[in-house]
Amino acid sequence: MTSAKDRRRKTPKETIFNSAHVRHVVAGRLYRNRYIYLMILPVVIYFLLFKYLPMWFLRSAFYDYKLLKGFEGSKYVGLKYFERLLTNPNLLTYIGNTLKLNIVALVFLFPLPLVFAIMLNELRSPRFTKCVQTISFLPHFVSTVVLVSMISTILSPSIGSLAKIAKMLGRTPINFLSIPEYFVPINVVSGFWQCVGWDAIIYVSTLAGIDTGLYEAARIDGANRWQQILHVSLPGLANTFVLMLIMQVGQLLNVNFEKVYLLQNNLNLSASEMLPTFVYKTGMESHNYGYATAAGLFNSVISILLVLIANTVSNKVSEISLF
Amino acid sequence: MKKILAIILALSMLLGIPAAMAESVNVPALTQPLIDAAKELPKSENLYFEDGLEISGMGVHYNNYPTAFDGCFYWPAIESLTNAHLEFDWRVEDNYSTQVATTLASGKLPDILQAGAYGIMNLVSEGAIVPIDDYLDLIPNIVAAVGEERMADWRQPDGHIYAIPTIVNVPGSQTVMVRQDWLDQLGMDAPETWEDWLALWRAIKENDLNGNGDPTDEIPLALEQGANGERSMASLLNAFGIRASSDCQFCVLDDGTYTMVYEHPRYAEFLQAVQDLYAEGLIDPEFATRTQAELFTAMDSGLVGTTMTWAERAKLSTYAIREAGDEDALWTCVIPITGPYGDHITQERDAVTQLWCITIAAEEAGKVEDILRLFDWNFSEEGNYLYNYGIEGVSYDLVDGEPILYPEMVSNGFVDYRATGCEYEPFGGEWQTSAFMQCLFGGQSIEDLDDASASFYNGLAIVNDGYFYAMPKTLETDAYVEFRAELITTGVCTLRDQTVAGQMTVDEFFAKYETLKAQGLQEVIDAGTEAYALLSGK
Repeated sequence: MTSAKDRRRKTPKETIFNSAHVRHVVAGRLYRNRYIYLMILPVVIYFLLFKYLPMWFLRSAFYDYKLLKGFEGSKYVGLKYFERLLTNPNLLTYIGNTLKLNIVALVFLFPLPLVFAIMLNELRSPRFTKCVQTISFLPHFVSTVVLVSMISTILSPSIGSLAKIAKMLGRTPINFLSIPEYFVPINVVSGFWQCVGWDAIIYVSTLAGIDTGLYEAARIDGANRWQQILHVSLPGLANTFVLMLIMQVGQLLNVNFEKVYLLQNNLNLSASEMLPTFVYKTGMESHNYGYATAAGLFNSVISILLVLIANTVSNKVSEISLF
Repeated sequence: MKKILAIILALSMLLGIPAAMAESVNVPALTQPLIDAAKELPKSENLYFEDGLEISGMGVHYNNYPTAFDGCFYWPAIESLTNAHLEFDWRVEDNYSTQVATTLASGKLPDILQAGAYGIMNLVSEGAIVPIDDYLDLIPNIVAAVGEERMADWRQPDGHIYAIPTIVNVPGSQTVMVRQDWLDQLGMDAPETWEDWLALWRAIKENDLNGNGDPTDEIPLALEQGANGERSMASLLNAFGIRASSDCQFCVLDDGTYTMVYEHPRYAEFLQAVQDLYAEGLIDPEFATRTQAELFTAMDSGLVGTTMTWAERAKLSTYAIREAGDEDALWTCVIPITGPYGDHITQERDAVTQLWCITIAAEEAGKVEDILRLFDWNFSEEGNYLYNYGIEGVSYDLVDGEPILYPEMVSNGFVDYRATGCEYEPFGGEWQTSAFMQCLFGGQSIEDLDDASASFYNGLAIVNDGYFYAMPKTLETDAYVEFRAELITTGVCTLRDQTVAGQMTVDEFFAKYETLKAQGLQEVIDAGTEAYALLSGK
C-alpha cells in the first residue's frame, strides 16, 4: 500500500504523461472551438500590429528620431522633448481646448444615444422602429471629409445656406468658422447628427436583453410607461452606461481628429488647436518625430490617469467598474 | 424581389467599373507619331551609356503630362539617344511629404528623389541624399544654365548643393487682375494709386456689379490662402514695399539684412492697414480659408472684383464667366497694387527650382556620376531641343536656325504641348522663352489674340515688366526645420490672420510675436541671417 504522501509525489514519467495529457486536452479544446478562435484571430492580429507593436517605438520620444537612420543612427536626447513640451506656453491652451470640447460633448452628446435608444424601444411599430434606426445610422457612414465639406458649405458666409437665410432676414452673414467661440458648438451639433444613431446601438441591444417578464411584472403592479422606463429600462442600462462613461472619460484628451483638423483655420485656432492636432502637425508636417511622440505619450499617460480616476470614483459610487 | 434588386445593383456596379476606369484623356494628334519617331532615334554622339543605365525616381506629378514610360515620346527618346532607362514613381502633390516619410521609413530609396514639402534639409538630416558640389565639373551645362549670379539660389543654407534644378527663364507668373467690365460699369480706370485702389474696392462693395440682385456678395479683394497662407498677403505686402519671399515669411531689409517680414519697419503699418480693410469689408471675409481652387470658383462665379493669382486665370476665368452668360466679362491684368508710399513691386518667378536629389541608394550603386551626366546632357543643346520642342520634323522645324513648333503642338496653348510630353516639368530642364512664347500665342500674333488671351499675355509678359524683384529664399536652416510648424505656420501666421480679422490689436500681435521669438523664432531669424550672409558672401 502507498501512503497518501506517496501518491501525491509525482514521478518524472507521470509528469510527462500529465503534461502530454494537458497538451492533448488543450489541443482538443482548440480544435473543437477552432471557428471561434479563427473569428478572433483578425482582432488579435490587429491589436498586436497596430496597438502593441507601435509601443516599441515610443522610445523615439527620447531620440531626435530619423526615419532612415532608425534608433541606432538617431541621436539620444533624453528628456529634451518632454521639457520642451512642458515649457510650451500653449500647452495649457491645447489641453484646455481638448477638455472643453470633450466635456461639452460628454454633457450634451453622451446621454443622447441612451435617450434615443429608450425612445426607439418604446415605439409600437417594429417596422417604423427599424426605419428610424436605419435612417439614424446613415450619417455615421458619411466620411468625415464629406461631413466637413458639408459643414463648410452650409456655414460659408458667401455661398452658404445660412448666409442666404441671414440675407433674407436682412442680417449680415456670419463667418461661423472664423469665430473661435462657435468652434465647439459646431462640433457638438454636427457630432449629434452624425453619431447619435450609431452610438445608440449598444443601448438598443442592452434593452433587447432585458427580461420582458420584468416589464410584465411592472405592468401588473400598475406601472405606467414612464414608470417602466424609470424602474426597469434605466436600471437595466445602468451598467452599460457607466462602463461607456468610464471609457469616454478615458477619451477626454482624444478628439475626432479628422474633424477637428479639417475644421481648423488660422482664425479659429485659439479654440481648435488641441493635443492630437498638435501631435499630428509636429510629427507629420514638421517631421519632428521625437517631439511628436513625446507629446503623444504625455497625452496617453494623462488619459490613463483619467480612466483610473473615473474607474475608482465609479467603483465607490455605484460599485460598477471596469477592473 | 430582394434577389432581383440585388442582381440589378450588382450589375450596375459591375458596369460602373469599366466606366470609372475609362480615361477621358484627350490625346493630341502628334502623340503617337512622336512616340514612333522617338523609338527610331539614333544614338547620341554626346552621351551614350554603352552598358545602359537604369534610374528609378520618385517625384511629384502635376499638369497633364503622361505618366507611363511609353505614354509620351520623352522617355523613349532619352532611352534611344542615351541608352538610359528612367522609371518614375509619380505621386500627387497632396501629402507628398508623408509619402516621402513613408519611403524613408521603408528604407528602400529610389535613385533620385524630389524633396517637395518634406524639405531638402530634412532629407539631409536623414542622411538620405548626397551633396553634389564636388561634381560641378561633371555638369557644366547645368552650371551655365543656373548662371553665376544665381548660384546662391542653388545652394542650401549649409552652403552645399543637393538638387538638380529646373529652370524657367520667364519672370512673370502671377499678376494682379481686375474685372474690366466692372471698371467700365463704374466708369473708373484701372487704379494707379493707393487711393484709387481704395475707391475701387469700396465701389465694388457698394454695388451689385455681378447683377444677381444681391449687392453684398461681391468680394472687392479676394486673397488665396496657399499652403501656409503665403499668397494671401503677397500683393499687399508688396504694396507696402516689403520684398517678401515666396511664403511671405522672410525678406531682405534695405541694409541687406535677411530677416522675417515681421521685423520690417513697415510691417506694423501694413498689418494695421489690412486690418482696416478687413473691418471695412474690402477683403475677402474667407481669406483665411480660401484655397486656390476656391478662389478660382469664386472668380468663375462672378463674385470677385480684384485679386492676384496666375496670369492664365485672367483668360480661363473670363471664358468661364462668359460661358455662364455674362458676355461682357473680362479679367484684365494690371500693374501691381500701389501702396500708400507709392511702392508697386511684384515677386519675380523663382527661376531656379530645386528638383531632384540623388540618394544614398544611387551612391551605393555607384550611379551618382552617370546620373549627373544624364541630367547635364538634358541641359545640353541636344537635350534642350528635345525638352522644349520634341523631335525635328515631327513636332518642329528649324526655320532660319530657330526651332518653330508645329501648329498642332501649340494651337491649344500649353495643353496639347504638354500632353505630348514636351517641357516635362516634373522631370525638369531649361524651359526656353521661345518655346514658352510659341505656346502662349498658340501660333498667332498678338494682334490675332482675343481679348482674354491678350490679357493673359499682358499679365505674364507686359504689365509687370519693370516691377519685378528677386524673391529672397526661405532658407531651410536647422532652426527653421525645427520650429516651422510650431512657431511659424501655426504660430506667427495664425497671429497675423487673427490680427487681420480683428481678434487682436497690432500691438497685441507684436507682444505675442516677441513671445514666439523667445520660444525659438529668434533662433530661426538668427540662423537665416547667418545663412544668407554665407550664401550671398556678405
